[in-house]
Amino acid sequence: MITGAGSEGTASGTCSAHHSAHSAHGDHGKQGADNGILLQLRGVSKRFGGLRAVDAFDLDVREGSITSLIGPNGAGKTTVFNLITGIYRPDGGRITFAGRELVGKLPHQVAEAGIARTFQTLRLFENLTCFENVLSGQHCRGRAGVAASIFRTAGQRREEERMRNEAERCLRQMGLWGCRDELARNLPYGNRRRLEIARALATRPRLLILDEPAGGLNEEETAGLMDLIEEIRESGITVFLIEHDMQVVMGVSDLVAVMDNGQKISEGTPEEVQQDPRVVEAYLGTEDDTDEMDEADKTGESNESSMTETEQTGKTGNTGSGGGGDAGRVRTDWHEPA
Amino acid sequence: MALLRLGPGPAPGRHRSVSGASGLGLVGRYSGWAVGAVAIAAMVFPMVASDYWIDVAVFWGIYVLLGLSLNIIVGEVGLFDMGHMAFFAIGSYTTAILSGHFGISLWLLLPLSGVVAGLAGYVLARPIIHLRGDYLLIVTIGLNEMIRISLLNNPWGLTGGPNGIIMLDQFRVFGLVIQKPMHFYYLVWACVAASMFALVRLQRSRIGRAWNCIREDEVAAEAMGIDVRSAKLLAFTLGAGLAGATGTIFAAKLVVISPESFTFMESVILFCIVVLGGMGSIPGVVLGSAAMLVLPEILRNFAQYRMLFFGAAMALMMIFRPQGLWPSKRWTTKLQEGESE
Repeated sequence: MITGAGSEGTASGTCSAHHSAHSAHGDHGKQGADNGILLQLRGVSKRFGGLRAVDAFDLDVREGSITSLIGPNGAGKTTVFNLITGIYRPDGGRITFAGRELVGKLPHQVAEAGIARTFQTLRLFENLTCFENVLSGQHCRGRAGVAASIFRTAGQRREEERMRNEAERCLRQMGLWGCRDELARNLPYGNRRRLEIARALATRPRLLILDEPAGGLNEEETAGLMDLIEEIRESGITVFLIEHDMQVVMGVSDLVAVMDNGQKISEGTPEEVQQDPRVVEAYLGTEDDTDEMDEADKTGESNESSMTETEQTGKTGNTGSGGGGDAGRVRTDWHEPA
Repeated sequence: MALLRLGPGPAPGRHRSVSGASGLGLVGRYSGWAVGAVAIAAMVFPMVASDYWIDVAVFWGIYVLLGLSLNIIVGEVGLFDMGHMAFFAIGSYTTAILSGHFGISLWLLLPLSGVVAGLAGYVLARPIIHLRGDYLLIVTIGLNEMIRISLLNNPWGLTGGPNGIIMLDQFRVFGLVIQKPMHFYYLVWACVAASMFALVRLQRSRIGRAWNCIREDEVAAEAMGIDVRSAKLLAFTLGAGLAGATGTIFAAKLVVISPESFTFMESVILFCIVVLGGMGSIPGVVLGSAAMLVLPEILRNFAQYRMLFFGAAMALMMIFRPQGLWPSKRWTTKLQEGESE
């Protein structure tokens, strides 16, 4: 699946062109983004019980780039996202965003700092309208309190107006303005994915984190999504995504980082990563491994014993991870030389 | 009776699609007229009704106020609070004690009791606000009982134990003492109108939207930059405060305040009012408290079957109309702007 990559025309070559475009976007100030690195992870670790979900992980996300994080199921990608966005607290290491430390910040503070995210399993506000869903993103950009809201002070009305305009802009950008009054639960799947992105954009982020945005989309929708990601980058927002669809990853990314067993095993442009033997190994397994697997399949006994083993690892793996797509961890453990 | 007439609603899974964004056309279009008609009827009512029925309406109004206050917590934010009477009790006792010992005017005690109960709500909710669903519910039941039993124990001789406290003062407007049921009627329903006005505005503000987001999905709300903990605490404080202020009116109306008015059973009735009316729905609270309070008065002859009736009604509601009598309606851009794309 790695070798089947599509167009790389949008890769690093265009990156510098976008840089100039977004330096004009001075919304959040330019403080702290040293040498163009917006998000920096250094030695970040997270353990769930005895399992090292993320192990001494380093990563740089350049401002204005589209960076992808790929890896087999259970490699720890979603955990990395959860560490960045403050849902988990790392056991060690540093995460800096625009020069400021993120470790210890609560999720809402991370969002306020300028990082917005979507979820692998959609988490929309199902019983609210699309418009209200997107408006929620503007919450952290407003200040109106209880009294101001009850008495509708001039400041509060201006703020509401600004929030509504911003929500409208995000809905239109995602092509969802027509169904603004529809409840989120009534939208078809493709639009639900778009609504989640619209909601994230409404927080006016500097960095947008997408967790498997192409999951469950058909080919046409996926192509639309790729255009959209490009469009978002062109508007000056850095994009960082986890994706399994290699067409998307290889098509839009400037930089790809590959993760396996909680560690970064490779990093580079899409072309470089595809040729890295370690990446191929992580995805397909080495020849030795496949032999072992075949043998295990043949003899019923050893197959059974390995099953019990996988069950055990499966349990420890699930204790803290909250089922964030770590089901495949078992298989990757298997490849590890004992 | 009214419950049965509604018949089978849409399937539980997709009920919101009907009442949701499409809006209730009739009510939406003529809402101004409807509100006006109801207001006039409410003004005229005490002039034609007997004192007994005016009194029923006064207690109805008190329960509407309590329902509105609980609706902030249960309906808007989705926090299960089944001990709300604790804050009502704190408000009532604050009024009775301060009025008795210091002779402070009730008009001053109305907001003051609200502040005291709100503070109590904040302090009591702070350590438990992170609990979810049934866990929070159980702790709030405990709070209710703790407060009630403390009042029974007559701490520092302040609460008068099981006998309670007698209120000597009353509300006064330019020399007129508010004593007759009719006076109380206007006082209570004016407070209801003011609270509704404020709560509708809150509902349609940044704060109300944040509450609803938390009810829908806490993790997503947090990721969108909503400070979930503070928003929940704010709801709890406001809800407790409104219940406390209502306590002042209750104390003035009842004259004798004793712990038996603030039992767990009353908290359950309040909870039912919010769920029955429709979570997060302000008109739903009015209907819900009518169902829980006024209907039993009408059915007084069958008093011994009252609990049976309640149980049956609740079960039927959960089966046929889980969204409540008057489900909350989402705010839509069309209704507000009348704009066509």
